[in-house]
Amino acid sequence: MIIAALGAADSLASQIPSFSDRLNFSLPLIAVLLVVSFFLLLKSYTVERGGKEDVPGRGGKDQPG
Amino acid sequence: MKDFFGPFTAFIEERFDLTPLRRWARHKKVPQHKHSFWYYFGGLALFIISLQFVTGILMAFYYSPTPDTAHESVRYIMEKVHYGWLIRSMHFWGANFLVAVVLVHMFSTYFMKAYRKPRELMWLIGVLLAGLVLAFAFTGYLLPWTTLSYFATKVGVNMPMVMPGIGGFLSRLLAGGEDVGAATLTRMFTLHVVLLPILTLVLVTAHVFLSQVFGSSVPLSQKGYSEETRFFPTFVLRDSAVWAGMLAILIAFVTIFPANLSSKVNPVMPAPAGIKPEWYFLFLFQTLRTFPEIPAIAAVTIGLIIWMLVPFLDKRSAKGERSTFFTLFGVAILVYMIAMTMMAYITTEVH
Ligand code: HEM
Repeated sequence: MIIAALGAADSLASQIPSFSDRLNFSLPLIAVLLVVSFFLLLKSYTVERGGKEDVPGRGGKDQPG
Repeated sequence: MKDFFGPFTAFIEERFDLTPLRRWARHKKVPQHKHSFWYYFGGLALFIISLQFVTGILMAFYYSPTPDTAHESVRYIMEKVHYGWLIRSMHFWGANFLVAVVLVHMFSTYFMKAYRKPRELMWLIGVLLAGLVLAFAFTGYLLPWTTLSYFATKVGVNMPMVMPGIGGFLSRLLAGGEDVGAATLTRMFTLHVVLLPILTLVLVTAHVFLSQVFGSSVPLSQKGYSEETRFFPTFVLRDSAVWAGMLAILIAFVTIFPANLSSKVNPVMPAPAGIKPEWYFLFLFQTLRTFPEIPAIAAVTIGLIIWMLVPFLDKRSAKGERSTFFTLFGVAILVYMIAMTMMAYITTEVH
């Protein structure tokens, strides 16, 4: 129950790590994931534009079809 | 990178001929057009379902499915197990995201008429997968053995009762007795961690295998406008970028809204007021509340059968012609589901 979860999320707050502890754990992880995501996206555009020779290990032999 | 993997690749290549695999990777293409965005949802469902397997297996190390221990073991996971709160919260939010992503995937493939020949089987397997995902959600809900989950499951297992003839039998089969109790808990547990995972693995494998065999379809409206990108590495890189983004969103949700554990089952207590199921069951719940039960169930069943058979009924799109009727049918179903869900929110108090 999403709404219930939102409303009551803190009823356990005393027993699980505090919000700031959770943030300390998650923020670096989220930052790394976003950077990785951005890098992968960027790479997908450079391999597309940079031409076929950018495919590791199969230098430029790419033919459509 | 290449040097790092070099010895490993050499080991494999001395033993297996990888040429067909290489050729496949080189030639596989993904169409690019105005609606290509929707192609990411199938892969996203695959990613989240894999996460559910990982977090679920981790919880199974600690969870104990008896009325005396279920609630306690979940509390133990939340409070004592290192990062247990994280794993359980990821499983909880992952389930919600999975249902949402599968729904988006189902309706987007529907409206792009991706079910048309030759992909009829992908659609059929897909509908079964959507059913399995909902069955996972239903069976998993009881496992923490909270008052809320107890009464919600009671409503669920009693639903077949309205069916004439086999209704009572089906209800008893689901509950493992006349009422929700210890037998129901072990039954839901076994379904959730044994039967449903096996069925899902088989069907997901078949579905994804077929998606590789056929490649992605091009919607009729985009015929002639479509370009192609390579599956490897371009699409794989973008898929991975989407997955990493999804994981970041999931972790953000889990951090801000960790999964809750409400009070333990107390069957002598009356059902809490305004009890209602998870958001994805609300349209069904509201349908049964709004209309007389037997016609409502009959209509839902017939609708579901038509939904499954759409690839075979929609003869026009199979021939490459536009089929406005089926587009409207999809719109009608979608509008009905959204309207009923909203009505359920408005007419029951939120607890
Ligand atoms: C756990 C659930 C599911 C997983 C993991 C999954 C996975 C995938 C993947 C990886 C693809 C290829 C990429 C794409 O086109 O998105 C795909 C395509 C497809 N899926 Fe699913 N899917 C699931 C559920 C469904 C459902 C519920 C339906 C519909 C009822 C469905 C129908 C289709 C169709 C028709 C295609 C072909 C799309 C095209 O070629 O344009 N799938 N699925």
